[in-house]
Amino acid sequence: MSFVPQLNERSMNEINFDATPEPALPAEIPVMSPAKSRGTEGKEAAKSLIEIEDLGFSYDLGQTETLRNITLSIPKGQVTSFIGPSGCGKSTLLRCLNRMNDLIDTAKVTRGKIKIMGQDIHAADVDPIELRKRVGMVFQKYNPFPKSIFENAAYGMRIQGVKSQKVLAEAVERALKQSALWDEVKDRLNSSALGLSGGQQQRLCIARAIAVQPEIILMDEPCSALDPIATARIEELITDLKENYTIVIVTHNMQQATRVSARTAFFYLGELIEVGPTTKIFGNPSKKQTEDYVSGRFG
Amino acid sequence: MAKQFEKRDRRFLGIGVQSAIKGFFGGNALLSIAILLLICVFLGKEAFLFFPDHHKGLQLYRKSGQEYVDGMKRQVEDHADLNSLMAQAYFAEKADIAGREWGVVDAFGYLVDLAEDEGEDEIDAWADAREELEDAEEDAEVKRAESEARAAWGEKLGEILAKADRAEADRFGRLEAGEWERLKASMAEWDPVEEEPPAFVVQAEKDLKAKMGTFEAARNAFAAAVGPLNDLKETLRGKAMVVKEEAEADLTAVARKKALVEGAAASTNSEDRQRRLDEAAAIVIREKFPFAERTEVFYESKPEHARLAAEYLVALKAAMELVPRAPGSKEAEARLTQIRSELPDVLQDFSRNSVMVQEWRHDKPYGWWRSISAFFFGKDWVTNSSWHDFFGLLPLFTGSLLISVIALMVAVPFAVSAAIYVNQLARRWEQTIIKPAIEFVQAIPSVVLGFFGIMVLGTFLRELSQVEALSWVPGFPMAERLNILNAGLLLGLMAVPTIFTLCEDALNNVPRAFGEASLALGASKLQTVWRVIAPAAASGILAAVLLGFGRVIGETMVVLLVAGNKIAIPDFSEGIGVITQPAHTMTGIIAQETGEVDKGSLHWRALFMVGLILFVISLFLNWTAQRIIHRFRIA
Amino acid sequence: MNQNRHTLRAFDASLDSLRSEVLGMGAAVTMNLERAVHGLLMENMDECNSVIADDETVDQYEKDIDVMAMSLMVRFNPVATDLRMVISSMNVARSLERISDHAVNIARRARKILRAGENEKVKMVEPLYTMAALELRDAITAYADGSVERALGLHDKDAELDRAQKKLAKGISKLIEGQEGNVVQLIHLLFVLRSLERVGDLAVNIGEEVVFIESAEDIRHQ
Repeated sequence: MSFVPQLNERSMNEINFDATPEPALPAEIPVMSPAKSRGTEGKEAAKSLIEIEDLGFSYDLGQTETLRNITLSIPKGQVTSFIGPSGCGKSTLLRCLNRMNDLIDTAKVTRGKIKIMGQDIHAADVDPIELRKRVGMVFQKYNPFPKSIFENAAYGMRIQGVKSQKVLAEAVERALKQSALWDEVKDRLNSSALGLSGGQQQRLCIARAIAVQPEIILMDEPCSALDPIATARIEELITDLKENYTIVIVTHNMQQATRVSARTAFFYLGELIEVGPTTKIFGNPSKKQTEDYVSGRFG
Repeated sequence: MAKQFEKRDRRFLGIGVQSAIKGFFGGNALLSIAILLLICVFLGKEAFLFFPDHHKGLQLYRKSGQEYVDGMKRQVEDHADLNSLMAQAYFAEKADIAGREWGVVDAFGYLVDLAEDEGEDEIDAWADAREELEDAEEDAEVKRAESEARAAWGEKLGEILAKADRAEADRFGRLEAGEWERLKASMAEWDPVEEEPPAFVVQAEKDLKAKMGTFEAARNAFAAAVGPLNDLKETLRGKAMVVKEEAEADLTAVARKKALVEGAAASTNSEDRQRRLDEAAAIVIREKFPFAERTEVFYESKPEHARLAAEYLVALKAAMELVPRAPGSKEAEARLTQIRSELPDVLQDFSRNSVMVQEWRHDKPYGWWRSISAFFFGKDWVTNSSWHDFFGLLPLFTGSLLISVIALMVAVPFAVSAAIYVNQLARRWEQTIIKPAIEFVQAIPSVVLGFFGIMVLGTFLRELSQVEALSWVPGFPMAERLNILNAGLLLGLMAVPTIFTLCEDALNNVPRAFGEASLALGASKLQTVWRVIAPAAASGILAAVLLGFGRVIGETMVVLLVAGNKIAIPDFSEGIGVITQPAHTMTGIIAQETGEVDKGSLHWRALFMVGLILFVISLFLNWTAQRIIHRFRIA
Repeated sequence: MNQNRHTLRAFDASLDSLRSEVLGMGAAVTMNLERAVHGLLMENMDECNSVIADDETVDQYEKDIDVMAMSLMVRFNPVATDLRMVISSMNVARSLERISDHAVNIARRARKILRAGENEKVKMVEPLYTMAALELRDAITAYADGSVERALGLHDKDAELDRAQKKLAKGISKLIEGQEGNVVQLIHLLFVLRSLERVGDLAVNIGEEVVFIESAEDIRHQ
C-alpha cells in the first residue's frame, strides 16, 4: 500500500515527466459533488465582524501583560477557533470580547482596541450589559440555573423585560429546536434543568445563549466536560449554528478545531503566533511553533 | 521469603496508634451524645411527672370548692371591669357638661379645708367667743372679745386666701375666668362656724345635682348591683380556703408525724422531745378526707346564688336604664358605647358562669387530658398564691411569640438585605467594614443590651409615642417603658448577626458559575442577584431565619429586664397596638421563679415543663433548618 | 460497509465524495481502455488520439483524490474502517492511474500498428481485452459495494488471463522468429498484449485493497 508512485512501472512506458508539485491544500475543503471539486477554489473572504487591533491586556493593572499585541479579525458567519497550550491567553482573549473580564477588579485593557460590528467596545458610551446581549457566551462547565428548563431558556428574554407568555414560549421553542434539544425535552419543559444529562445541560446552555439571538456566540471549551458522543453532538450543533451566528470557540482539543472551525488562531504565551484557514494551520503551517504545537512536538 | 505488605502499625499495650486516635475522637463524640441524652432524659422525667401532680392539684381545686367559688369570682370581676368603664364615663361626662360647677364646688371645698386647717385656732377662738356672746349679750368685754376674735379670724383668712394656690384648688382647670376671685371674695362672708356656703356655691351644687343626678344614681346603682353577689362570694371563699388547707394538711399528715417522731427520738432535750411527741399525737390521720361533708355548704348556697344572680341582672338592667342616652361628652359617649357593646358578651359569660356554678359537683372526675389542656391552653399563670396556683402556658407563650415575631420582623429584612449587599454588591473596602461591624453586635453581652433597653430605649420610645403627630399609631401613646416592642427591638438587634452570618454563608455557597452565566446573558448585577443568586440561596436564607428565631425565643436576660414581666395575655383590643403592652416570656418566667421554688413541688415541675417546651421548640427549629439546608442543597 | 451514519454529517459527506470521486475515476479509466482497444480493432485513429488526450483528466482525478483524502484525514481523524477506506482509496486511485497509463500505451502502439497497415493478427487482442475489461469492471464494482467475494474472485480470473496472454505471446513470438508478416507490427502487438496483462494485475491490486478495507487483511504477495 505505498503512496509513492512506482517509478519502475512508469519508466517502461513513456513517463509523463511533468513535474507534479506536492498536493497543495485549497483554502476551503472541497466537500461538494465531484463535478465541482476540481481545483482549489476558495470562497471569497467573508466580512469581518470582530476586529482586534494591537490589543494588550493585564490582570494586575498593567504590571504584567497577559495578552500582547493581538491583532486578529474574525469573519462573520464562520467558526473561528483559538488553540494553544494552557495559559496562553486564549480564554482571556475570549472573555475580553464580551467584557467578562470587567468583573475582575484588577483587569485592564492596557492598549489597543476591540471593535465589534465597527464599534469600539471599550468606548465610554458602551454599556457592557448591552454588549453581552449581542455577544453570548457558553462556558466550559455547563451551568444551567437551578430552575426549570423553560425558565433557563427564557431567562435572557425575561431580563430584557419580555413578559408575554406567548412570546417567551415561541422564543424558547425556537432556541431549543436550534440547539437540537427540543425533541428530548418538549414534554418536560417545567422539570428542573439539573435533571438532564451533561450533554443535554450544555445544549440547554447553548439554547439559553441563543434565545436572545445574539450576533456572536463565544464558547470556552464547551465540550471539555462531556463524553465523546455528547461532544460530537455539540460539534454537529455548532456546524449548524454557524448559518445564523458567528462563533468563536476556544478549545484544547485540536481535532475539535479541525472538525468544526474554518479559521484557527494559534496563541502562545499571550501572543498570536499564527492565524489562518484551519486546513493551512493543520496541513501546512507557516510558523515552526505552530507546526510543533499541532503535531505534538511541544515541550 | 519475606512477607509482602506487612502491617507496620506500632502497638501500645495491644492498641495500635491509629486505633487509639480513632478511639479518642470517637469517644469524645460519644461523650457529647451521652451528655445530651442525659439532659433530655432528666428534663423529660421531671417535666412529665408534672402532669400527674397537676392533675391532683386540679382535682383538689375542684373538690375543695374553689372551682365553685371562682365561678362567682369571675362574675364579680367581669362586673368590676364594666364598673371601671362606667366610672370613667361618669367622670368624663361630669368634667364635660358640669365642669364649671364641679370646679366651683371642689375649689370651695379646698378653700374650706384650707381655712379650717390653717385657721383652726382662730375659728375656735371665734366660735368660743360667739358662744359666750350668746349667753352674755350685753357684756361689753365679751362683745369686744368677740369682735377681736372675728377680726383675728378675718386677718387670718386674708393670709390664707393670699396663700391659697389656685392650681392646687383647681387641679383640672375647670374654673372659669373670674370665679376664683369670686370664690375668694365670698370666703370673706363665709361663716366658719355655721359652715354655710355662699349662695352661688349652693347654686353650683344644685346645678351639679341637676345635671349629673341621674347619671350619679345610675353609676351608684351600677356599682351596687354586684354587692350581694360579692358578699356571697367572699363568704364562700373563706370557707373554701379552709377546706383546701385542711385537705392539704391531710396529705402531708403521715410524713409530718413521722418527721416529728423521728425528731423527738433524736432530740436530747426532754422538754423538746415531749413537745414533739405531743404535736405528733395531735396529728389526726384520716383515711380519706371527707370532701362530701365539707362541700355541703356549697351545694346549699346554690339556690342563694341563683337568686342573687337573678337580682343582679335586674339591678344591672335598671342601672343601665338610668344611664343617659345621649351624653354630652365624646369620651363618655365612647365609654358608654363600649359598655353597651361589651355588655352582651359579659352577660353571656355571666350566664355561662351561672350555669357552671349551678351544675358544679365536687366529685365530678377530672379527665386526665384536662390536666394537659389546662397547662397548654390555660390563660392564667399565677404562682405563690394563697388561693390556688394556676399553671397556664398561654400568657407566657403568647409573650414569647409576640416578642419573637417583632424581633424577626425587625431582624430579617435588615440582616438579609445586609447579607445580600455585603456578599454581592459591596465593594471590597465596604465589605471589610460592614461585615465585622454587624458581627460585632454579637459581642455585646445581653445584660448590657437589657440595661440599654431599660434606660435609653424605653424612655425614648415612650417619649416618641407621646408626640402629638404620632397619636394615630395604634398603641401610642405608650403607658409603659418596658413592653413587647422594646424587648422585640432589642432581640431583633441580637438576632441580626446570627441571621446575617448564615445568610452570607448561604449566598457564598451559591456557585459562582450561576452569577457568571447570568451576567454573560446581559443581566445587570441587581437582576442577577434578584433572579438567580438569592433564589438559589433561598433555602439557606430560610434556615438562617429559623435559626435566628430559635435564638430569639430562647433569649432570657433581655426579656427579663425589658419585657415588663406582666404575666397575662396582652390586650389585643387595639390590634397591632398590643405590642406596646408589657408581657412575660417562657424564658423569663424560668429565670424569675427558679429562685423561689421548692424542689419537687408542682411549681418546680411546671417550670421544668416550660423548659422542656422551650427545648422542644428550639430542637424543632434547628431540625427543620437542617432538613431544609440538606434537602435543597445544590450538589 | 458500515450502514450507520456519523454524527458529523460533514464526515459522511466527505467519505461519500471520496468514494464518488474514485468511482468517477474508474469510469473514466474503463472508458479510456475501451476506446484504446476499440480504436485498435476498428482502425480508428481518432479514438486512439482522444485516449492520449484524456489521460490528463485521469491524472487530475488522482491528484484530487489525494487532496481529498489528506484533508479528510486532517479534518476528521478517521479510524478503523474509515481510515482503511481513505488510504485504500488513494491506492486504488494510483492503480487506476496506472491502468490509464497502460491504456495510453495501447493507444500509442495502436497508432503505430495502424500506420503500418492492416494485420489480421490484431484480432487476437479482443479476447484478452474482454477478460481484462471484465476484471477491471469486477474490481471497480467490488470497490463500489464492498464485496469481498467478488474481489477474491479476481485472483482466479487473473490467473486465466495470464495463461491466455502467455499462450498468445508464445504464438506471436514464433511468428516473429519465423519472420512472418510485419515484425515491427507484431512486436507492438506483443506489447499491447503485455499491457492488457498488466491491467489485469492492477485490477487484482484493486481487489486486494477492497479486501483490506473490509476485513483489514493484507492479502498482497500471496
